[in-house]
Amino acid sequence: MDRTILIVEDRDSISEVIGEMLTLNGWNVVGRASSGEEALEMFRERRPGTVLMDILLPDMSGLDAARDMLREAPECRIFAMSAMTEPGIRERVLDAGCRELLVKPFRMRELVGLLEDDL
Amino acid sequence: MDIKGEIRELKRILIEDRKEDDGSPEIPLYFFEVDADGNFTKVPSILERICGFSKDELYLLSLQNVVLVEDRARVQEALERVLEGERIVVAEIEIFSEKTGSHPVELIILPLKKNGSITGAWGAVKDIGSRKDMEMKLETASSIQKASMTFLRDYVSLMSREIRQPLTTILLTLEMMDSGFFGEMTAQQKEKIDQLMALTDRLKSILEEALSASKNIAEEIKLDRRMVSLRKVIRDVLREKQDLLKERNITVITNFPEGNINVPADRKTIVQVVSTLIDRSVEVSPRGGDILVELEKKGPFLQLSVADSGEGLSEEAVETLFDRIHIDRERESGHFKEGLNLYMAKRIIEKHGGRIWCESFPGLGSSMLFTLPIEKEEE
Repeated sequence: MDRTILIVEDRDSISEVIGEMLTLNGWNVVGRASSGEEALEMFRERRPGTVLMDILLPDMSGLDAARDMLREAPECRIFAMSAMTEPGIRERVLDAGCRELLVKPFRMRELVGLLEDDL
Repeated sequence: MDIKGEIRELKRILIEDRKEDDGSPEIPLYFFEVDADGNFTKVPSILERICGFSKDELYLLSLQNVVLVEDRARVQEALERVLEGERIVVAEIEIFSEKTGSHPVELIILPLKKNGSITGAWGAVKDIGSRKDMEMKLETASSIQKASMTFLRDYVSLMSREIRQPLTTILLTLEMMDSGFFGEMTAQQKEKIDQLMALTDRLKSILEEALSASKNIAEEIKLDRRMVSLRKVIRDVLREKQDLLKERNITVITNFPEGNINVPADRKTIVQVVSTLIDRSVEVSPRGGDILVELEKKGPFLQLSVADSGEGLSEEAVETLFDRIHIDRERESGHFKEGLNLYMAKRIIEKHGGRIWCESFPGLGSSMLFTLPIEKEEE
C-alpha cells in the first residue's frame, strides 16, 4: 500500500500540523508545497500516491493543479480541502477528479479516516 | 344640494369605481369650491402647503391659475362641461409647487348647484404626489436594505472562511497533544485538552449557524404551502432533539387539542421555527427542568406555545428579542445565533400571516408563542 503523501497548503501552521499528524499515523510525507507551481514540481519529482490539496492557493486554483496532476498520473488519489462552504464546491471538487472534499476545520480522525478508507 | 350625498358619490367615484385595492392607505381628499369663472370660493388646504401661497392669496386666484400651463386647457374645458351639468374626473394634472416646481394631483370636479341652478363647481383635490414620494422612498429603503443584507451575507462568509483556517490548526494540534505526540499528559491536562476541543467544535458550529443565518436573512423567504400537521411537526422535532433533551435531562410535556388540525404552511420553515423555539427553551431551562409545548385553537388561528422553566426575561429583553441583533446582557451564551434565529422565525411566521411573540415573567420562565391561520379543520 502506497502511503506516500504530498501536502499542498499555503498556510504554514496548517501544513506543519497536518504533516506531523499524518506522520504520527504512519504516513510518509514526501513534501509540503505552499503554491500550485511548487506542488506540481514536487509532484513530478516525487510521484506521491496521494495528494492533499488546498483549493485556494496564492498562484492558482488547487483544482487546476489537481487536473494537471491527474493528467500526468491518473491513478493518483487527490483529496481537496477548503474553508469555503458555498454550495456547489463539493461538486466542483469531484468534477475536477478529486476523491473527496474536507471542509476546514476537521478532526484528525476525519482526515485519517478518509485517506485510509480510500486506500 | 345634498352635500352628504354628493360626498358619498364623490368617494364612490374615487374609491369604488377606481378600485384602489393595492393596500395603500386612503389618500385624503381636499375639497374646494369655485365660481363660474373658476375663482376660488373655498380654498383646499393642500394648495397652501404645496403651492406656497397663503389662503388670502389663493382667494385672489382661480383653479386654472394654480395648474401648470400645459394642463390649463384641460381644466378650463372641464369647468365648462361641469357648468353644463356634467361630472368630470380630471386625471393626473400638475399644480404649481413652490418647492419642486410641480406636484401631481388628481382633480374631481362636480357642478355646484344653488336653488336648482349651476353657479359654479366644487370637488376635491387628491394629492397623489405624496404617495409617489412615499413609494419611491419605500423602494429606495427596500433596495438599501437588500444591499446591506447581501453585504452582511458576503461579509459573514468571508469572516467564516478566515476563522476556519486558524481553527484547523488549533483543533489538530489539540488532538495531537491529546494523543501524546508532544509527550505524555497528566489526567488533568487531558481533561483540559478535551474541554478546549469541545469549545473549538462549538466555535465551528457557531460559524456554520452564522453563515446559514446570514444567507437566510439575505434571501427572500419563499413558501411552499401545503396542509401541515403541527402536531406531527412538534413530534418530529422532539424526536430529532432526543439526545439533547436526554443530555440536559429535560422533560417535555405536550398538550394538544382533540382531533388533528392542519394548517396551510411551508413545512421546512415551520420545522425551523419550532426547532429554534425548542432549542432556546432547552438552553435557558436548568438541567432536569421541564418544557411545556402546547397547541391550541384560537379562533381562526392555531397557536403553538413553548414554555421553559428558565429565569424569565426582563421587559426590555422581551421587546428586543426578535430584533436581528440583540444584546442579552443577562446571559452569557447564544446571543448572535439566537438573535438571528429568532429574527428568522419572526420573518417566517409573519410571511405565513401569523404572529410570534414572547410572554415572560422574571423568575418564572418565558413562553414563546406563535399563531398560524387555519384554513380547514379535520375531525
